Amino acid sequence: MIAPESSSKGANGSGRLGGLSTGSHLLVQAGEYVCALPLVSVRRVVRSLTVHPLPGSAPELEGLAEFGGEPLPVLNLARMVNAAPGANPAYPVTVVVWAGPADAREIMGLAVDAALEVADVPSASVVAGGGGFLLGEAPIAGRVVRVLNLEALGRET
Amino acid sequence: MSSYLLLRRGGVLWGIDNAAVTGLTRRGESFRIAMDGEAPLSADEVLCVVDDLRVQPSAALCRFWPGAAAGVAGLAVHGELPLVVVDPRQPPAMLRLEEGDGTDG
Amino acid sequence: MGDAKNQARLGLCIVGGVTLAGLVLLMAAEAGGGRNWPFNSFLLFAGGFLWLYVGVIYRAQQNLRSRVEGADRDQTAVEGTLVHALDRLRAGDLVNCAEHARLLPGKVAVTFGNATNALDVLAQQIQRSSIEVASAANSVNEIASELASGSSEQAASVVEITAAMEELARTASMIAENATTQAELAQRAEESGNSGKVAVEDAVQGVEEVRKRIAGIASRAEILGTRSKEIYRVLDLITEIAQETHILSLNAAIEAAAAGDHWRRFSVVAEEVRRLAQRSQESVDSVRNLLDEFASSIRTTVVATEEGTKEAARVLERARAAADAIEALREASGDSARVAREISLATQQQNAASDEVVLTLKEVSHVVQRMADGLKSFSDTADRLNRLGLIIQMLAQSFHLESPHSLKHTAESWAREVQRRLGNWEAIDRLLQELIQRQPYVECLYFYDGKGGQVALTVNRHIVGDRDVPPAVKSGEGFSDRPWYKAATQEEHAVLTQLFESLLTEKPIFTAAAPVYDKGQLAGVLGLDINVDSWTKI
Repeated sequence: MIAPESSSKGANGSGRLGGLSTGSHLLVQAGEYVCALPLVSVRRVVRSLTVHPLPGSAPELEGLAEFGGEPLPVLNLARMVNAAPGANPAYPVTVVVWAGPADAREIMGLAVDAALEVADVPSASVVAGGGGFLLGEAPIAGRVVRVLNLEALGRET
Repeated sequence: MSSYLLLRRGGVLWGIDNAAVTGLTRRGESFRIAMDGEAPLSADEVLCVVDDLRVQPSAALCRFWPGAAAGVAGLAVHGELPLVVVDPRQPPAMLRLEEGDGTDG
Repeated sequence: MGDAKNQARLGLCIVGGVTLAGLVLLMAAEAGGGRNWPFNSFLLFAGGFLWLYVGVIYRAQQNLRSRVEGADRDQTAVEGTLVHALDRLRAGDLVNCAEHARLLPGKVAVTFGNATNALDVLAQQIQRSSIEVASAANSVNEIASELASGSSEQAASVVEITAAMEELARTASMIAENATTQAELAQRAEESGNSGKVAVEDAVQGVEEVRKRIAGIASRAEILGTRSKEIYRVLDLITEIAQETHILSLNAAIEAAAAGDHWRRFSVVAEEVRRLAQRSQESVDSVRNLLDEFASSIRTTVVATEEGTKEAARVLERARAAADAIEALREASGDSARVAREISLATQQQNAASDEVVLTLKEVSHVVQRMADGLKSFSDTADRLNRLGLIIQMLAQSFHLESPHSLKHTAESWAREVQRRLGNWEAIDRLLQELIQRQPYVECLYFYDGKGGQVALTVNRHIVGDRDVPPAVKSGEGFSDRPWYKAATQEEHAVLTQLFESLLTEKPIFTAAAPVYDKGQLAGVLGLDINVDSWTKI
C-alpha cells in the first residue's frame, strides 16, 4: 500500500479543494453519475461479487462478499451518491477499495455499473461539494464527474 | 485461539464464541442454543465449529447495519463464505430465541 | 155294460138250451119214429124260453132306460161344467179353468185337471220363454243398433281413408316426379363433383409445392438463425474477453499507480491495453449491431416463412378439406342420385300400390256400405224381432196363470185386495201406492168406480218423472168408455188391451184391467198401465 499522492497545490479557500490530493482516479458509472475514485484507494476492479444480503441493513449496504479470503461489505455506489438508476448494466463490476480514515481503514467493495477508465483529475478542476464523501465535481472529457473521498466513507456524512 | 460455532439464521452466516455456548437442542425445524448466562439463541441451521477464524472489525457494517451493530464483533470468512461474528454477551435481536420458535425436540 | 153282457149271456144260454133241447127231441124223434110230441115239446120249450127271455129283456131295458135318462141328466151337468171350463180355457184363464175342471166327474176331472196343469206348465214356460225372447230380442235390437251405428261410422271412416289414400296417391305421384328431377340434378352434381375434385387436387398439388418451397426457405432461414446465434456467442465471448481485458487494464493501471515511479510506462501499456479492449468492444458492438440487423432480417424472414408455412399449411388443409368435401359431395351426389332413382322407383311402385289401395278401399267401402245396409235390414229385422217378442209376450200374457209373470194374475190378485177395502177410498189409495212399488213396470195404477165416478190413482215417478197427471185422467173422465173398462166388465175377468200411447209419457203402454165385485155386483175396475219399455227389460 502506498500513500496517496499528496497535492502540491495548496487550497485557495474559494471552493477548491484544500488539504486533500487529487490526481489519478478511476472513473466508474454509478447510476446516472460518473464518479471518480482516487486510484490510491482502489485495490482491484473485479467482476460483480456474489453478495450475501443482511436483513435489516441500510439500502446502501448490498450485503457481504468474499474477496481474496477476506470478508467484504459491499455498498451500492449509486445509492451512496443518490444517483437515479441508469440502464441495466451489461457488465457490472465491484471496485475493491480501502475506505475509512487512515488509522482505521477497512477494505470494502463498491458495486458500480461499470468501470470506465483511469483519468487524471486536476485538483484545480474540482469544484468542491458539500464535503465528506462527495469531494466535489469536475469536468472530465466533456462530462461532469463526481469526485469521491473514500476516507470519509466510514465517517458520518 | 477461540473456536466459533457457525450457524445460519435469517439467511446470514453467523459465528459465535463456542465457549459461550452451553447447549444445543433441536426445536422443531430450528435449533435452540443455550448460552452461558445469557438468553438462549435460535438458529435455522447449525453448521460446524471452527478454530481458525480471523475476525476483522467493520465500521461500515456498523454504520450501515445499525440494528445489529451493537452485537457484531466483526466479519470473517470460512470456506469462501463471509460470516458475521457476534458478541455472545449482546447478540443481535434476530438471533434471539422467540416464543413460538418450534418446540423442544 | 155288465148288464148287457149278462143279458147277452142269458140270451145265448136260452138259445143254446133251446137248440139243445131241439136236437135232443129231434134225436128222440128219430129214434122213436114219431115226430109230433118232440116237435111240440120243442115248441113248448122254445116258447117258454122266449117268453122268459122277453120278460128278462124287457125288465133290463126298463132299467136301462132309467139309467140312460139319469146319465143324460148327469151328462148335461157335466157338459155345462165342461163348457165353462173350456170357455175359461178358451179365454186363456187356466186358473178358473182348473177350478171348473175340479167339478167334473171322476176320471174326467182328473184327466182334465192333468191336461190343464200340463197346459198351465206349458203356458208358464211360454211366458217365461216369451220374456227371455223379448229380452233377447231387445238385446239383439240394441246390438243391431250399435252395429249399424258402428258400421255407419266405419263406412264414414273408410270414405275418409279412401280420400286420404287418393290424396296420398296424388302426393306419391308428385314425389315420384320430384325424385326423377332430383335424380337428374344429382347426376349433374356428381359430374360437377368429379370436375371439382380434379381441380382441387391440382390446387392441392400446387399448394403442396409452395409449402415445400416455403419450408425450404424456412429451413435455410433457420440455419442462418443458428449461425447468427453462434456468431452472437462468439461476440459474447469476444465481449467477455474485451471486458476482462478492460478490467485487466484497469487493474494494471491500479497496480501501476501503486508501483510508484515505474508506473508511467506500465500505465501506458495498461492504457493501450485498455484502448485495445475498448476498440475490441467497439468492434464487437459494431458487429453486434450489424448482426442484430442481420438477425432481425433473419427473424423477419423466419417469421415470414413461418407464417407463410402456417398459411400454406392452412391453405393446404383447407384445400384438402375442400377436396374431401368435394369428394364427399361427389359421393353424396352419387348416393343421392342412386337414392333418388330408388326413391323414384319406389314412389312409382308406391303410386301403383296407392292406386290399388284406393281401388281396394273403394271395394271395401262398397262392402262396408253393403254391410251397413245389411246391418240396417238386420236392425229392422231385430226391430221386428223385438216387436215379435213383444207380441209373443203379449200373447203369452193372454193366459191367466198362477204365476208372478202373469199380468192377469197380478191384476186379479190386486183386484181382490181392492175388494177387501171397498168403501174406504183412503185405504184404497194407500193400497195403490203400495202396490205400484211392487212392480216397477207399472206406469200408472188406478181404481175406477164406474157408478159413482170416483177414482183412486197413483203414478210411478221413476217412469213418469215430474210430468203432471192430466186433470181428465185424475178425474177419471171418460173412463167408463175406455176399452179396458168395457172389456173387463164384459169378460168379468182380467183382460189386457192392445198397445197405445201413454198420455203421461207418450210412450207405448197397454192396460191390464180386472173387475172388482162386491157380493156378486160390479164395484169397479182396477187398471194397471204397463210401460212396455220397462216391462220388456224385466
